[in-house]
Amino acid sequence: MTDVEATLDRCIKCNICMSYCPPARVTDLFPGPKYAGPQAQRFRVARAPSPDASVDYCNGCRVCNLVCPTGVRIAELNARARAKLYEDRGGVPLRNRMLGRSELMGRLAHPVAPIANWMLHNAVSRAAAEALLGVDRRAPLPRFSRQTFVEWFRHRPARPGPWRRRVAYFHGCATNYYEPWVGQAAVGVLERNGVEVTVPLQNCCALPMLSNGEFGAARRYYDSNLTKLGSTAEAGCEIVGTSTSCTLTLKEEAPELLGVTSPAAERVASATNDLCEYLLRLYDAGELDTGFQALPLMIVYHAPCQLNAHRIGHPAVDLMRLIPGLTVIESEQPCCGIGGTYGLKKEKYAIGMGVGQPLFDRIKDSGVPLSVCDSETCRWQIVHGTGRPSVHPVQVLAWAYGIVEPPPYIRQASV
Amino acid sequence: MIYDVLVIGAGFAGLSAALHAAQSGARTEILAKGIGSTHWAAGWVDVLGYWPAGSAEPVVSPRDAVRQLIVERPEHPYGRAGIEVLDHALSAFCAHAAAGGLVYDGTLDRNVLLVTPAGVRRPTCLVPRAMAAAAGVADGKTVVVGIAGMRDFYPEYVVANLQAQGCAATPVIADMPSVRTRRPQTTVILAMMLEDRAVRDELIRGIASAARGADRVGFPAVLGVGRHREVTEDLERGLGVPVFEIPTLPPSVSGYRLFEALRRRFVELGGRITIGAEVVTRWADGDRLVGVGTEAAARTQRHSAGAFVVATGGFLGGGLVAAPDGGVRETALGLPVQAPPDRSSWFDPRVLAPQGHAVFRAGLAVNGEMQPLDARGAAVYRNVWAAGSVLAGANEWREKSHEGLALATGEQAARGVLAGWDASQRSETDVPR
Repeated sequence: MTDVEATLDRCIKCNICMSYCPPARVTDLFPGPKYAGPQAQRFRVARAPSPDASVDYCNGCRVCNLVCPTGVRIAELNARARAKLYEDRGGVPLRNRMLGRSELMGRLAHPVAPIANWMLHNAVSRAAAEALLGVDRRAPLPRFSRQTFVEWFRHRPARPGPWRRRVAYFHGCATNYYEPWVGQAAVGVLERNGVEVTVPLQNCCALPMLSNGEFGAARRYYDSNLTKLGSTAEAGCEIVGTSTSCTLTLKEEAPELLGVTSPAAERVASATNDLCEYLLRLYDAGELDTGFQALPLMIVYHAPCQLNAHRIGHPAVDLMRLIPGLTVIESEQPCCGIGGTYGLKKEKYAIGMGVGQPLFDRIKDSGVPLSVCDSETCRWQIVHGTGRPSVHPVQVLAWAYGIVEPPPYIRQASV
Repeated sequence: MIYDVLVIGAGFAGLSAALHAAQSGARTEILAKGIGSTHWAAGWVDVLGYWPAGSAEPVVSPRDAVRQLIVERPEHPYGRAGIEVLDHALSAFCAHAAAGGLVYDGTLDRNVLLVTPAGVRRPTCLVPRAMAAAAGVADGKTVVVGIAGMRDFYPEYVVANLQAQGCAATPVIADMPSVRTRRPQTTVILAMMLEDRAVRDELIRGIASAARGADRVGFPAVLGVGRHREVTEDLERGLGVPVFEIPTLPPSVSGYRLFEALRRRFVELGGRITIGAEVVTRWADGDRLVGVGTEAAARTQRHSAGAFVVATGGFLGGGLVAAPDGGVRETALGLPVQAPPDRSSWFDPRVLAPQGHAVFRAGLAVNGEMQPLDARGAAVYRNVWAAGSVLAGANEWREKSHEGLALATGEQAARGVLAGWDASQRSETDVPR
């Protein structure tokens, strides 16, 4: 594991990060990665107050890390500095604590999903949430699903196999509480390829807490996942996830930011895969069923920042290009602006939308009926910015396998 | 995932090799640790500015000087690539840049003197259209514009040095309300702001009276990014005189634009480029390299290919590192490096020695096909080629040869790759496209 702080000495002040930082392009509230990261880091001393509050305007997209030619871990320096900043201020704001607890919110709200959805999506309560909590009234929030993914999974009939492989599915909070259909598509696609799917006990990956500066709680959630997933990983079972930010957190974000180097952390990290990464590996091994039905359709694929941070390329593109008739255009835009929960916050909503505007324009100008993206919060932001649906790549695969009927707007667009 | 050609590095050399390979129909991927040195470069294309290195007078005809260099120093990268390939690589570069919306002028027969941010007139070979008018500063009157609030660009300094070289020039500072409000942290953001017509109008209003009667007006190179041409033409119309750009300190917008244009062109040709992928390991089968591994979250990501081009740069780009023990290492594949035998022979006692320092000529020794060689002079791998600043034998900063050398050796490396390859030999494993 990289010693995050030590990488600041690699900075040669070339400013390449400054040229590509999405928030710095739309606001001067964030001075840019070089200033907030390696330069401010020289003034961050243990037990001394944080020298600079602007680091809170980093949206954690990690574009700076990718373009840096010398390997400075700028985004991680910023995330740690944000946690320290809140510590100095006497604690993490209530708003951040709430946004960090996607799992708790899901648990409380899904049994009363219709009421919770009404509460979340009416003008009065949104105005109240904005005034009291600082969650922007325009920001894209998801809808709770009445049935969770786990309930669906437990209640379906047993599948006999035969199985060639076995994986543990990490569904994450979004699939469980908001979009169970993403998990259903993933299970269908994996089973179609002879992969038995198990769903181990798990909890929130802790990323929302990490990016909201709440490292103490994040550590508890992460440790709990290590306990729950450790034996799975030890047994040699691969962990796959559809939420590319959850899988990144298990692979790297949590152990690196929290400084956890235990064997269990390493085992879980190396067992974890993004779903498309896993499927592409099956393809490379000649084990992927390529009997896709034609999908005469053009889509824009947006690689989310959290996927790019895996440094595994864009496996979803390689997979979708196996589907006859499907034309995949890559967005070639760095960031949708949401930054997990960043763009939900009142003071940052406009920045997030400004960051995403070139992406929204690209999707709208391409005239495609929908976009495809591996990350749920990005999809919600893209739907908000484009007025068009956005789906996970595994949903497209499930349509092309004939496992799931494509929605009407696809059937119309593909005629 | 198996590509025909895998290029390591996304600077001028890597892009040149990758564009040549992709245009020839090879499935090509670029892997780069970060974004290349294009963003530190002025955006113009040097071929040979001074020869012999350290001579006081700039080269007039790069073609003649490179010919002379090849005779005197056959082991120089230009000697390996040859002048025909250099000539072709420059034309190919112009075509690719034009396809990406950037027009370059110039030929191998003549260097042009352009203006640096220090006000120095220095020789270069291919000139971005928006810098062309800088060649005329010796005649007539030049106005050099600075923008209040923009860092690291001082028109008074540029002008003082131009005057010292006998050029008539005056400085002017444009005070723009939108810049005062937005406080752009970098040149790239300022360049994006100038894509807005209202912001441009502020600039024109701010300098119109100072520009009256001038023969040309020089700006820091912030005249737009994607809409560079529109911004430049609009300023010329608004001021009624030719305008030109002067490169800035990094981030160099003129280099940024060029990188983005070439990247787009490469993707159009079917290439794939992955930034943030540092090569940290390799797999070989005898004298054949079968794959490289890049650093990824919690794993090493394996990439297989039929052929590999190392275009990782020199000391600045990170392709070479010098260790305190006096060793010089090649960072991506651990290839043998030709370097001064020990640390005491790295440097000339004079800091500004006209010939430069020996350590900066360190790098990979290659054959005429650009294949890295071992100490006995045999190719280390039969499917590995190298290009650009990682090569031994040049002193680019003294010679002013950085871009030309990268483009020529990049193309020569790609030619080496393609000589042993034809479309019918595409990798056996099908690559999803």
